[in-house]
Amino acid sequence: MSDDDEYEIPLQDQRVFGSGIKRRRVKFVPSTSGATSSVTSSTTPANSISDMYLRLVLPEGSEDDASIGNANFMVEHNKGEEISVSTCEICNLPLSSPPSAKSTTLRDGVADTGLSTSVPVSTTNPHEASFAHQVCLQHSHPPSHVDRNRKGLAYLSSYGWNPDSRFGLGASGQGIQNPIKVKPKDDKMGIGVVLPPESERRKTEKPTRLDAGKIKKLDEKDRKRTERLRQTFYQNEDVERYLGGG
Amino acid sequence: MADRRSELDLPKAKRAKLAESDPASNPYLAHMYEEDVGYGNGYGSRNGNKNGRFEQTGLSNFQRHASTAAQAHTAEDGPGNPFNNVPLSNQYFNILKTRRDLPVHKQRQEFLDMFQKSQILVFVGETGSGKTTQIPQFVLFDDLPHFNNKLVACTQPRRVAAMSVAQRVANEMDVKLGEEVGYSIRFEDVTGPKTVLKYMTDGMLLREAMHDHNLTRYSCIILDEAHERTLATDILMGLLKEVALRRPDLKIVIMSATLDAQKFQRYFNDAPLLAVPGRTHPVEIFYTPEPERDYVEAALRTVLQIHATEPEGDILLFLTGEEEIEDACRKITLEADEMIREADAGPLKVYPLYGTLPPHQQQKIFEPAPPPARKGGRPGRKVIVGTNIAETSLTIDGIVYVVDPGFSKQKVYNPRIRVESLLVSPISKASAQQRAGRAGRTRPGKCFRLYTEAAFKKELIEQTHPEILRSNLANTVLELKKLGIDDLVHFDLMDPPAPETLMRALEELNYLACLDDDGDLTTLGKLASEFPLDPALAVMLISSPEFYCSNEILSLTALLSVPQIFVRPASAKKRADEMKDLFAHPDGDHLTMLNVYHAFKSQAATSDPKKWCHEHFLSLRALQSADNVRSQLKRIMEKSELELVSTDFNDKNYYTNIRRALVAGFFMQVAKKDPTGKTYKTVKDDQSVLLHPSTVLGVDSDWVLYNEFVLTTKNYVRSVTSVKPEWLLDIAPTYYDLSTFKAGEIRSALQKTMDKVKRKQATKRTR
Repeated sequence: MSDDDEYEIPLQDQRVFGSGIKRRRVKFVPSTSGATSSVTSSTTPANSISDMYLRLVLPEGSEDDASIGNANFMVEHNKGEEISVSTCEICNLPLSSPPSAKSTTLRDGVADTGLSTSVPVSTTNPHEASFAHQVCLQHSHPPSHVDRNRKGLAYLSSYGWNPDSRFGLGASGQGIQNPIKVKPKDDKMGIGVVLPPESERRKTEKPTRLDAGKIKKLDEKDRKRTERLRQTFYQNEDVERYLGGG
Repeated sequence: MADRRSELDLPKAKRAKLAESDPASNPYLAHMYEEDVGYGNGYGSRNGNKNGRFEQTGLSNFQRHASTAAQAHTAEDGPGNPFNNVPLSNQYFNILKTRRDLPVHKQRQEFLDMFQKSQILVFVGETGSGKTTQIPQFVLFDDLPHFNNKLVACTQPRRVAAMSVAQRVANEMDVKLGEEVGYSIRFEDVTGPKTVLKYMTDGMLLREAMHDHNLTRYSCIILDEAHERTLATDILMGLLKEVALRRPDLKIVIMSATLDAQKFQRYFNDAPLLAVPGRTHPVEIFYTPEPERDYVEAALRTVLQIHATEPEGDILLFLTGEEEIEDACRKITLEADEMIREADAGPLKVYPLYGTLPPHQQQKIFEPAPPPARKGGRPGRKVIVGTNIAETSLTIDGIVYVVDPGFSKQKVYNPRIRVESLLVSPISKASAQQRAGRAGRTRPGKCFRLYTEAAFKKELIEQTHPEILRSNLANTVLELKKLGIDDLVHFDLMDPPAPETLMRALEELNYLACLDDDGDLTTLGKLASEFPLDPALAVMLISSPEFYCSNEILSLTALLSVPQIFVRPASAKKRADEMKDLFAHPDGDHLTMLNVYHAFKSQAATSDPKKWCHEHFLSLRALQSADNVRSQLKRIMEKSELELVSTDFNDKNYYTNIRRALVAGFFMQVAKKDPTGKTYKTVKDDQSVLLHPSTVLGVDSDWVLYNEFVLTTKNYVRSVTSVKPEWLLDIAPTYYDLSTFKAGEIRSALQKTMDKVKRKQATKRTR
């Protein structure tokens, strides 16, 4: 599945990013007041995040056991301080730090646990907006690249195949989704040979040792070349004729 | 199906005649109409010989699906042949003795028990277990098809195998080939009314299924070499899975040589599995410590090294293609001669082996290794340098050393540019194991892999992709539609193809008018499916009478269905090219081939065709098989009431008509010259291509039609003929509907042509 996306549009039809738009740089400036840059910091106690982190990393024994033991579904676990810990069923993280009113919007009717606490309610980030949760969410796939006007697609669709479903053909849709791709091989290189990139290869050209004779020869060659170049560039036909040459 | 006759969408009235004729006259259906036709299994009760003839045979007291191995053993011992009561020959008893030594024989009872109990059975036997020859006979003794007027079929992926195995089994059963035991391959049917066991190619069984969806002729179907996963075997498996539900009396045996048999088991709803060990010896496997920069060179060195240092035993080297193999053979011979001169090495014989090699040369690989050069000298050795046909299809005894560079040429189809090509690519692990196994046929052997163990584990895929994932499926879709399978989405294939490949196939068939816009088979499509040809070729052939050149197109179709007719040996390239120029037609390669064929049929050639072909650098074998294919196709054309006509040779349109008829089939394989000069661009797919150097066509033709797209580092189109854009617009208007083209050079050129045609018509009208 990893390489199927690159296969989608023939190279010549792919648009370069930004073509059509003037590629002028979008400028940014830092915000003037530090406070507005963070949504939570103004109202939440600054140490709440670090508390949460510490609780995750260095949990006190009993709480840890409980949250791991019941990781799959919401757990209500009351400790002496009335902190209730429930885990999100999607990202398996505790929901309650800080418990917020917005947690009522959680899916599947996760019980509201936060109203009784004294922590400010409305301004905190809902758990669903947290990065960890977002990463764990099932994302929808981009639709297939297949041209919807193709007759072949119409035929397959009429028998219930959906190009966007990410299923192949076959009794249970188990077939491959993309045609098999093979790179043409035009060398005699054996299996497993890894060529260093072009730049590396040039570098590895071995320096050769020169003795006096060789240096003299090279020098001679160099001189001749310079002479020839000078001739071609600076020779003047009139002068040549005047001098009686050529 | 006959009700579709109403939707005749063919322009010419004469095609209407082609609508399905009386099914009773169809040879594939003959068994259904035995009373009328007098065809079918001669043992049928209607002959009244059931009581007369079979009372005395060894099989008469057998109970169907309740016999035992011991019973069969007694029946086999004679004295009369259990199938025709003729006294058994000495040769029969000699073979019988060796047959009873085969590994499968020990498990005969076990096989029968499982066979009787379940409808579908998966049988795994390694090479050398005797499964291909013995299992069908085991089935015969238990299934007794002749008492029920049925047959047992055993499919093979290759024609040669079907023929040779049938011959072998006929000998084993002491019957004449073509009577009790026969074979059926494309263009050849050696069976008779008495036939009870039929070896056939998987493709043939599929063709029979097209006319008889339930395969009612057969009481048991054995799919052999299922592990090779050919296109036809895959389709048959999907089909048999359905037929098994409709026909509970049908027995099915799937035979495979490899260990992934569980996959077959799972696919056939957990059918029971029986495994029989082969007769193989251990093979020691060696890897190179470092990857090889040049696998061919490394392979040659390995071969010579084995010859110099290893004890007696023949060598098998796997390479990828004809050219590489011939080159390697030459080099090995040269080097070995030097070794013999300088280091007193034993004599070395080198044999090439590839598919297009003439059979008599292929036979040479079975010659024994050469004897020592002198008495007491070092033993001789033979080296076989082959493609992967030596991997499974041909069994060569005496191989002890295998050299495996890890590559083979594999077919692959890219539906996005509609190109099917043969590419050199790494083999699979399964394939590497199969190759290694070749070393252990006669005694413990060695396999030298020219890659590292890490590369074996990391870079090789587990299984070779089955053919169905690597092929253009236009033909397959046509066959499936003819088989009555409309739901191509849920058809239960073991490895369903990529949706895009199937979409392409459907679209191609739609453009060829074999399928209508609803995806239903048209009359043309039904007719095309009668021909064992690619749809484009079939459509070209069927529409050729409209262009008054069906005789010529028939020859051309035959020529395009056989291997290359031109021979171009490396030693005489120039001479070969000169000879080809004798036949060259300025309008392209198709017409050149036609010229060759006509010359081949002329008096000058027929007196001594062998000599004539040799002189003209032509392949006699290819031309002869083209001749054979032509007569077979002609028979189908006559049966389908397609007229065989020709334009008068002196008519100026003689060649034009042929070129126009080509367009009728191959309008999807057209390229236009780039305005810049030498390269061409394929229509709609926009692939840059060059004309293959072998073409006789100059680069001055703007539009060319090609038969084949050859994918290498440069893309070539081979077998090209120049065409006119007017023809494209005229003959294939749906494909050349300009609104479906991307804006560009090709579209504007077509637009110009269209305007020109319109202007011309307008001026004509005004006149």
